[in-house]
Amino acid sequence: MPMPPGGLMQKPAVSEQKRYLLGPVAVRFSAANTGSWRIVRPVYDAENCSACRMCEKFCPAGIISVEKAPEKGGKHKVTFNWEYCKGCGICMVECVRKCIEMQPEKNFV
Amino acid sequence: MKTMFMDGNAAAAEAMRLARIQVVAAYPITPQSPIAEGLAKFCVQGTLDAKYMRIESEHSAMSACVGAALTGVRVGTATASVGLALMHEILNVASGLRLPIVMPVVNRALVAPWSLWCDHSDAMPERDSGWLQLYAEDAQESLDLALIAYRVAEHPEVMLPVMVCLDGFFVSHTGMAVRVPDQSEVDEFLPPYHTDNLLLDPDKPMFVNPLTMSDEYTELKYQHKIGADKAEQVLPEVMAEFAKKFGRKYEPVEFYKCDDAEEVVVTLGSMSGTASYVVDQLRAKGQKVGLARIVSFRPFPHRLLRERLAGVKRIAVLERATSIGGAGGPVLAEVRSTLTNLPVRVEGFVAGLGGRDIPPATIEKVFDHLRTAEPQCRPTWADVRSDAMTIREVVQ
Repeated sequence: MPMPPGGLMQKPAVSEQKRYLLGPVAVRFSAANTGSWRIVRPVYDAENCSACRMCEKFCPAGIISVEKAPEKGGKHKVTFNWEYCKGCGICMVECVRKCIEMQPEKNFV
Repeated sequence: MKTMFMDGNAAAAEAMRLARIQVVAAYPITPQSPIAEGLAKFCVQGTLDAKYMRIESEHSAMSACVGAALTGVRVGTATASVGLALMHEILNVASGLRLPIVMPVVNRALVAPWSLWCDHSDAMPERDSGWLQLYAEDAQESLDLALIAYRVAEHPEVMLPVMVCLDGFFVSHTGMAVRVPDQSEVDEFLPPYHTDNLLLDPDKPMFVNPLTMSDEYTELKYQHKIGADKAEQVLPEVMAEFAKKFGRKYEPVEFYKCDDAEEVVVTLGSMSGTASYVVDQLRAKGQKVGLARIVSFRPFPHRLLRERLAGVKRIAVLERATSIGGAGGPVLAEVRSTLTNLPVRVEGFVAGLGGRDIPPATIEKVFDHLRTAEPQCRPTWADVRSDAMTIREVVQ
């Protein structure tokens, strides 16, 4: 009988309904929620932000995205992914206009 | 099908072209270089539609293969000797991640002493890397076993990388008339690779190879072991299908005149042709001798060897590798362990290191020693020169 070239286990070890991956792999990312380590979080001042993107570039976790205001004189938007922001404060240090400050996480619970 | 004059390296490269590998990451090293060069040539000529990655070492080559294989494409590379040793860390990553990479290993002695020539001291240390290992006897086999290797590697219940070992120069650089199958035949035998196991897909993210605690490490190793156990069953099935399609028959162990044999020599690779010649010569003199050539060293064909060698009185394991300070060479230890509790004497012999030829005389000596000498625990060095300890005299 010819055998299939690759893919899933044909006969799962335990249940016929479920399928299983083989090898070291995680598909639930609860352990990767590095945001849970945070004790201070960055808060930005929208009035002062020029959307220069320095915070975005320097964030070691790549969790900051800067959105320029569509119209001139409008407010720019900075979004942090709280799932992965560890609160390291690098964005605060790098912000050219000093418009990011770190505030205690407990203020936000 | 066409018949072409090619050596083992060319045959291995041709097999990977026919397998339509999509990524090549290979670093040239003697005596494997013609494989890396051959694959590069195919890419330039356009006869192989693959991404050819020029990397800076074998460690990087295997790392690139791991990354590429995780994207679900068919991957090929090749190496030899110290190159294989440099890959050691990533070999275990590749097998632990269950990636079906196929790699011709052109067997060459490890250093020191510095050597370019054949023995199995490079591949044997990797017998515990979780890869499967097939040993080719000639150029035709290096092509055929590579195609068989992809099928076994990609089998959904095996999912393990495979080394196709070819003896440096004896196989890699010796030309013969090789039957090269048509692409359409190979496509039927080896359909495009597809996997739903570990896969780097941005739409279905998974975290591959996270830190694994002691509560799960054993279980993941056990999965790996089950894959290799499964390969022991899958390999002969794939070989049978290969024989049906291409007409060339392979077995995990090739038994030659073993049925009524009292003495059998166990071999691997290119020495086997000479061994079968010696068996014929001794048979003509009335001696009941046979040959068992191991094609699949991993998975080790335990069941076949126990079944077929149960009635044999004395077995000589002739190997091109040693385990210095150990009780047996790698093959001897394996054969002895396999034949546990059977009334058979198993003796080990080391020969053919660093490219030394294994002529009929060496194999005759092995059979003779097997019959006449006292049983020994440790292997006998069958072709060592008698002046071994005095070859460098100090001169003022």
